[in-house]
Amino acid sequence: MTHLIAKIRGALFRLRCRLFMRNVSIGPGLRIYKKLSITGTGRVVIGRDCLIAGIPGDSSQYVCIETRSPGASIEIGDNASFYAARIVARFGIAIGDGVLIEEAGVVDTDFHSIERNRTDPAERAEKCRIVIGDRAAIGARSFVMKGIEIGADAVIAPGSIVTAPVRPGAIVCGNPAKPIASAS
Amino acid sequence: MSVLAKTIRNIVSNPSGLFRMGTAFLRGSLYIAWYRMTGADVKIGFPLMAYSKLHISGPGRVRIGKGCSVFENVFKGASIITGSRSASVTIGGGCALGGITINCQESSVTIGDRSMTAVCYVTDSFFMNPASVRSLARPSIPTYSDISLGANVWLGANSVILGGSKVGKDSVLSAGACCHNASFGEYCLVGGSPALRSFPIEQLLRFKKP
Repeated sequence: MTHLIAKIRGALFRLRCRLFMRNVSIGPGLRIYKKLSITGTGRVVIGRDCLIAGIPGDSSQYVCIETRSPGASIEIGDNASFYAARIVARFGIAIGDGVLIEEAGVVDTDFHSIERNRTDPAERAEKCRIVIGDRAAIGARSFVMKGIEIGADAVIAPGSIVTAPVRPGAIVCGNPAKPIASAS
Repeated sequence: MSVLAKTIRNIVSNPSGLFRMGTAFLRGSLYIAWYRMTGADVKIGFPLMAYSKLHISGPGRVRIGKGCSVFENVFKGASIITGSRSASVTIGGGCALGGITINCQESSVTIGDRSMTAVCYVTDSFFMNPASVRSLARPSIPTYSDISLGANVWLGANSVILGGSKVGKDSVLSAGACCHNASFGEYCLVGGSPALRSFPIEQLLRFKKP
């Protein structure tokens, strides 16, 4: 029953995007178990058969996708699943197929500069883009900082802060995230 | 006698606190009755003081000792999620649970008596959803290992405890610590992310000026 409601909610959200939010394009088969909020004027592309859900036992968190400039783009592949993930882009975030993100933050900007007036930071797009490879998995309460490239099949343990690129197939843990094992 | 006098003084100075205690006691009793009726294998000791929400879901075995209390900590109560029938969560008596999230997929999580928790995350597997855990199962991912925390352990804010962690009794996990596959002794201060070393608190107290 909940699966049917999730499918109906996904179809209604697709319809709403087609009618009112022209910058958002969503593939068929979206399932929404909990609130999905897409804000901002940038381009958002979500692939086929994606899953949007919350964390069980935590009613306050839901999936947030936000673009902070008209030139920003968030591209999400097919079969991705998000559990209360927060994705904020000022430049661009590319997420591959079959990615799993759980209650983690993926943010490609610092929001403010370290100068006294706290204006927009002087960031360049080529240094801030985030690329997450196919079938990567990001655990709960972890955070992916700007300019990070996460390889395919990589696993990020819960509670880790990713500050350096992650190689394909690696398992990283801690702050800053360091590899603990590698699938070879 | 002094305890009684202190209690009476507290009640006189803060009557609304007594009202909150009464409502928490009633709410806790309702939680006990509710999970006895609906939960698959959940047993909660009497009394339970529920100042905030207690959420238990999943088919696993959950035991909570007598005299526990659930506090609100950063808008969160306690939530316990079990993934399968072989999962078992055991919490001792007299614990102060605030903001803890326990995710137990297939192994056991044990928390000793009189433990205190801030907003922390105790998980035996890397991921919360059983379907995603199964689809991600690779030999290199360390999944499902037991977690045991001793009596009178204090878990600091935003700490993460992953599978295979063992913490001895009377220890303190500092804020932001991340334990993965490590065991620590009794009466230690554990810090760092990932936590690798522990400092005996008796030695640390020696530095403190009298």
